[in-house]
Amino acid sequence: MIELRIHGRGGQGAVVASKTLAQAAFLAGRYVQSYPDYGVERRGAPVVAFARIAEPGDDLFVRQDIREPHHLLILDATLLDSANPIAGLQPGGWVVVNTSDPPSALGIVPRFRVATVNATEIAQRHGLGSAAQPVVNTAILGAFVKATGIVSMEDLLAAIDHEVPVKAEENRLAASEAYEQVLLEVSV
Amino acid sequence: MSGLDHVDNYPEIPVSLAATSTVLKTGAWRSVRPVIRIRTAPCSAYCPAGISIPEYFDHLKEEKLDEAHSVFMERNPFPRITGRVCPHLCEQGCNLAVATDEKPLSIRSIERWLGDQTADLPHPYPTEETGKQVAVVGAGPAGMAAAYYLRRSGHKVTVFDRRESAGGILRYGIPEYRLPTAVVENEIEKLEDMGVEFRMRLALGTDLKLEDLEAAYAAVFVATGATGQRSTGIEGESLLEPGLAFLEAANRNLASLPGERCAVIGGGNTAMDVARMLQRMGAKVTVLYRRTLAEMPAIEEEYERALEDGVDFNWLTQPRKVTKLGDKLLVTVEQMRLGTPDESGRRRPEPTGITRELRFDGVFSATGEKADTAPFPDRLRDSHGWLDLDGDGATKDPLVYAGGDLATGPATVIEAVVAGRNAARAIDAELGYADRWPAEPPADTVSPAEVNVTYMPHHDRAEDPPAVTADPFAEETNTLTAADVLGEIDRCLSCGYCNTCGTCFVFCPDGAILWDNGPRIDHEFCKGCGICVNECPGHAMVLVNEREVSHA
Amino acid sequence: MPERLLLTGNHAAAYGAMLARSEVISAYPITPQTMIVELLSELTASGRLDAKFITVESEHSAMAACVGASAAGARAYTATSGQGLALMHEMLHWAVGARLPIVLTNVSRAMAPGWSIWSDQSDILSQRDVGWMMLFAESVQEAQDFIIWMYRVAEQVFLPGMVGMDAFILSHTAEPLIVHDQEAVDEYLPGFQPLYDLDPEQPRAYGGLVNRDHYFELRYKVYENMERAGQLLIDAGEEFGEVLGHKYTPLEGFMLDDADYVLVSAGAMTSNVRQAVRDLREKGIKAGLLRVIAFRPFPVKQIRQKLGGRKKVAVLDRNMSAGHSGIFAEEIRSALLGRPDAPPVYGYVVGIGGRDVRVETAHEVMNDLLVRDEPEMSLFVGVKGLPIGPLRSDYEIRPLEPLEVMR
Repeated sequence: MIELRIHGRGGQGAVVASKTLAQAAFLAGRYVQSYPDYGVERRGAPVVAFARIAEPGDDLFVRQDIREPHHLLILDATLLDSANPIAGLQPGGWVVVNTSDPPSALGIVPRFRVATVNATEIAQRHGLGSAAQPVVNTAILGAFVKATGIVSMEDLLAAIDHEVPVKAEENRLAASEAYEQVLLEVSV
Repeated sequence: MSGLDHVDNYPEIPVSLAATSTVLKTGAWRSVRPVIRIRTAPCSAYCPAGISIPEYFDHLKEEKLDEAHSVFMERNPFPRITGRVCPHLCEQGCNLAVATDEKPLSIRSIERWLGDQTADLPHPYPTEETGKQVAVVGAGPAGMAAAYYLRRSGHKVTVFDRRESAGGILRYGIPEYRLPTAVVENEIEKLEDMGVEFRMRLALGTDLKLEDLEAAYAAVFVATGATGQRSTGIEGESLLEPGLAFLEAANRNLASLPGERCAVIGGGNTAMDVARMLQRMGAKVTVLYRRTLAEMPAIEEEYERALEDGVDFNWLTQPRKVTKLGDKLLVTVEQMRLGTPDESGRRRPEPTGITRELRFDGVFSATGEKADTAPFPDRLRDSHGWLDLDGDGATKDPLVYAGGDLATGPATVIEAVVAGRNAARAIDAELGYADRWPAEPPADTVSPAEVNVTYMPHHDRAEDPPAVTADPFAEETNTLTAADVLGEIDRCLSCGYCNTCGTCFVFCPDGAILWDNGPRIDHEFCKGCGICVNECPGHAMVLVNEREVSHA
Repeated sequence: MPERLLLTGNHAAAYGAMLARSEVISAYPITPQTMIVELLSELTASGRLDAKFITVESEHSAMAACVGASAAGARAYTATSGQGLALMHEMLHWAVGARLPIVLTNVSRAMAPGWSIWSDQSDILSQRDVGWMMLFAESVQEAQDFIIWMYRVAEQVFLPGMVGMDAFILSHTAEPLIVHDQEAVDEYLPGFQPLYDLDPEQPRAYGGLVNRDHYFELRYKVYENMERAGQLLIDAGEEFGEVLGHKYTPLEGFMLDDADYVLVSAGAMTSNVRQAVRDLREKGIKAGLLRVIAFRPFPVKQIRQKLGGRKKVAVLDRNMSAGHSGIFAEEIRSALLGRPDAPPVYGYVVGIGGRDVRVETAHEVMNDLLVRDEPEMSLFVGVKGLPIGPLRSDYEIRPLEPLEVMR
């Protein structure tokens, strides 16, 4: 079983990212769970969402918060400073971050693998969300797929069709571009 | 649910096997029952003519002008005239004004609108002629009203008058700016159109003898008014100009100003008319009145309009003597003070002995006129010289009736109209047609404590708007618009008259008020809770004890 | 054809109402139930669900609308949560007395104040005695299926039923489920035939005054039908398996047959208890799980049968009846009272206000159970600064400054 945690800010699409990723794995025949850590959400407030992906053939699940995720998606690099998203991350896990910086610039302890992509720029270029509040979820998912290979790009693009309510083509392009542009650093 | 002695005999839910409301005749529980009853509204009770005001308002509300008009005409044939000059006692009684701090309904203004709207509606020509001939002497409001009702009843009516034109006080006494001559002429024409004959320039006592009329006509109604000058008791009285004569001259365009400064003695409506007319002709007028505003008999509205015209008032001022001083008149007045109330309830003026002298170009007396009863034989008069009449104006001679100012002394137009109608009804009965007159309004008047103002719309009272004119003799106000009239009628509580507002229907908790163009009480189911009676805005419903009903 | 989809519990509930061919839906949105209302209004607006969606200004009116619709012969559905269910309370009684088989989904959340939108069984258990049947779902699949199962029984006994599902843990969690084939559901759940027709031509008075001579009998019938529903739930759960592929029962046992120590749980936290039982078995502890699915009618006989003779029983309650104990514990105790083989019942209060009930929580409970002698009425698990244990008897109020942030 693979447990994932997604950190973002209200409006960036963290909850949909969780659902889309689960959908991609579900399309591949895996048993999945996706859920938000629901609070009194407001635009800009820190948001956490979770996803579980079962090993093929397994469907036994627990229903509790994910405290020790295998991988992290960080939709806003400023959360690294304020929300301590690395807490509980299992050694060797991927940290996929939306930033224009290269992985080495983030100063994340070398027990983890780091991937960075400028999802904000990609989302803005494709008109996803507003210029001030881009919706970066599909772009960062493309980067996550490249880094982890947990699901295929084909399944991700199909999942985007299922889960993303508007601008499906632009979202697919954003995911694909991030897949191509993501910078990977393996520092374990 | 009788017979339910085992749980298995029960339905699954509390459901009656038939609608309880159709099976259970809850009317049997009642000890009192609501009854929709036509009662008298205080406006109608205060109205000398007893016009069924809520009833014709309801017709107006339903936009049934003809019906409204016909209700009105049962009791007063001249809404255009009284709608302009009536002191509207009706409004004094308005329950809305008593029960709330709002102004009363603008009843006279609505009446005026009704009159103007129906100005061209001809009076019905009688369907059946009786062949009887009735003489009416005096073509003022009393005579005109009597003529209308007598003619409507099928009698042939001839109206005699000493002047060259009909109308009496309406044409010659009331100023044009209050009552245009055209309005009076319109009414006379309509009377002529229904077959009333007017014979002018024939004065009773000189050109006509009462006994001749008695011999020639089935009945005679005399209403020659009160135009005689009463002594004022002021020294130098001959220097005073009679107010009513001045008004007649002014209405004939024959009056001229004696000079700029004029005085009017008196505090009645004639005094107001004289003062205002003089003011409008260019004089500076002072009213000399021996009591104060509170005791003044003129209607308040005329006093206010006199103030607006610029008339000045000297209260507690009793003229004692008038002398000529060159081309001026010197009026010696005594300062009065208020003492104990007199028989009219007003505080009596008492002399103080303090006098002063006022100087005027002309002084007019308007302290009251007296009736001329000389043409009547002594057997028809009492020891004071007044006519000896019953309530309908019948003299001791069954064929001779009298009414209006002749009988009462100076009074209002509506009182004259009522006298004319009463005499007409009595004559009609005397001639053998007693049953065709509507009953008088019931004595049961709706009190302010009974009405329910909760559901009434509250907005400002609509009043006749001032006319925009430079002509001081043109009519000073305009008639309301139809929209204003309907808005004003909305405020009417319809005291004692069901105007099918539906409040009872809405509030009945038992659905025992049925609706059939109006409320109908279903006594099979009415429990007699009285909510309908309580909620009825105009209290046109009463609760009656069942025993009274069953014993009736 | 049945479809396998990835849906949240809320959307699954909306699909359940749709598959059941609800004809009138009246609901008022409230977090965390809102998505049910949103999806049902979309489904009715698009015509995919042939139903009348009645918008209202409160939950009280929502249930009133359902009462009217059901009395008129329509299959009625609503959904609510927490304060909304509390506001509905009066009308819940009405649905029972009028014998209207309305089905309601309650997304269980804690009661205010302090305001909470997170999982807690207090809202639904506060309606314990109104006379509604109650089922507790553990999964998104059950959030859908229990609506259909509930209608099947409700329309046989003419009593309403509610399906409880945990706030967020189910309502907002997407997981795979089977969305049944409509024709198969139609076969399982025939059209609703009301007990009495509302006929304007034959007016009758419904729900009127019933005097002292008759009320008792009408209530007796309610109790009888609730009792009857116990067997009907079993039958209908069996039939669900035959027609729709998954058998449901009022109680579910897991590794129960030879268990000495039984953990009793209801709702979504059961998944974690199940995992803990699996772990305990690996460690050689003879643990078992009894999941309570049907709370009303309460499966007393089956509980006696499943729990009789065990060494110890621990009941996990995500609720608390202040002044007594956790409500499931209370009900289990009363079911076992006086039985010669009745095990000691230990009440554990967990997860109040959405506090995470984890696999480790179940382990903590089991660790405590194994060493504790006296079966306490309620043992609180996870109150900050306190070990697992009963309420303190020496506590006194000590005023403190308000906290700046309490979140």
